[in-house]
Amino acid sequence: MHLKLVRSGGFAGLDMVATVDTDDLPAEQQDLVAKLLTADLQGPGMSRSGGADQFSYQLEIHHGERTVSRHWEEPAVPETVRPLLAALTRQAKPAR
Amino acid sequence: MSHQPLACILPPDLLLKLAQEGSAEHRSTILQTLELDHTFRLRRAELAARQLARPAGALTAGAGGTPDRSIYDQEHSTADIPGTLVRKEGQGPVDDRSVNQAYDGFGLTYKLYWDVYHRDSIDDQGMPIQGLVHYGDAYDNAFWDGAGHMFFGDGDGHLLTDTTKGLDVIGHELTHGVTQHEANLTYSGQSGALNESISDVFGSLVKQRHLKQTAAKADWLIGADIVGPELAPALRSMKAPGTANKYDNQPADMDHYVHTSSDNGGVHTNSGIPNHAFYVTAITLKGKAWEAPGNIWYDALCDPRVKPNTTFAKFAAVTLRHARSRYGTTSVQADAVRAGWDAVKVRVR
Ligand SMILES: [Zn+2]
Repeated sequence: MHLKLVRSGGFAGLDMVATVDTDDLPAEQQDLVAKLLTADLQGPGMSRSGGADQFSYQLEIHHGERTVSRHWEEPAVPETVRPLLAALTRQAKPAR
Repeated sequence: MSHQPLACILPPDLLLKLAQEGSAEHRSTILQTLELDHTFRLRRAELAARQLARPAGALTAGAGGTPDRSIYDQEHSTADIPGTLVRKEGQGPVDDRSVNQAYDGFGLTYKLYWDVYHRDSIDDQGMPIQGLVHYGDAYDNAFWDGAGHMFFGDGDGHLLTDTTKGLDVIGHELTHGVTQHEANLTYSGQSGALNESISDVFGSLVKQRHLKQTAAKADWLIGADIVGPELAPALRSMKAPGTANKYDNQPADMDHYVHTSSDNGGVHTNSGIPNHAFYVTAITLKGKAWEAPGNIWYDALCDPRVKPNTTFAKFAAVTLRHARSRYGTTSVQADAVRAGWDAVKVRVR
């Protein structure tokens, strides 16, 4: 299984892209990815209208033939998902 | 206030009309004159003036002129509510640079809006200004949440550094609040790019005014004080969109408008087009960009004809209209506005 994260938006307006193999993730994050395959975890509260410069995160989970996409917008990102997004963001590179 | 004697001899209805069409300064003089008249008439004048353009801050008699700032320490959490209150209005500096930078930056932003555009804070009603610093862990962003809070991350030191270091960044975020209370531009496509551009414009003006720079002297860069090595020397350039750093792909005219699904249709990308129109207007007029160009853009932002789905062309037309009504149909200001939009190939009708 591998993951592709695109973080877009933000004040800088720069897309950041990371592609990782789930085998390289710590066990608890692998469990989270497995959960995300079947459940769309969303944060408390919707992202508010009128906001600006917030990040949005698009996570693609590639599992065999299947691709599952999950989407979050700051600040309504569930706490359970944040460590995974942070770990992927640390490996992300700016997309041109 | 040389208009006052003239205003005194004119009937209230004509005063009202003048108030609607005049400059903010002119308007405030006229409305003060009306105030000597009947309270009922004043209320009508206020209402009518507000429909066309914002009345001068002087109208809210006695009130305004002082910000109401609160800075909260988020202590690296990503909670979307304010953390610990660490400095509020009137309190002296604390032992945290980010807190003081946010406090001071909001003060300078409030002052630009109050001194030059007679606006009393985000909503023109003295709305509290709430800055939430140290948001997240090495967080590479600053944002407005649409509910009165401005969040500032510390940066990871590679892409961005402490985002409170940028006076233009602070001005940019507060301006998102102003826009939300005025044109309420929808955050996608052209209206979203316009929303972004208006934040860059007034963010840059806060900085230029603080540094006492003329249009010619200013660098017109956005984010120059918060970039890390990867994004140096800046995030955006209003003078030369697309040249601020190695990833900058902002267009400088409509021929190069970027069609993308990312970032709400490239709101931080296509903002380069109206950004550059403002720059050309300001540089054509040579003086202080927060004066005539800033006033024209501010008038347009507050004009009810600028609706949430406003396009670049519609906004351009409204700026030209305000340049003409404020400075005259054949004024250098009107010509400069036209030159600005011409430069970015936005056709003004
Ligand atoms: Zn913005």
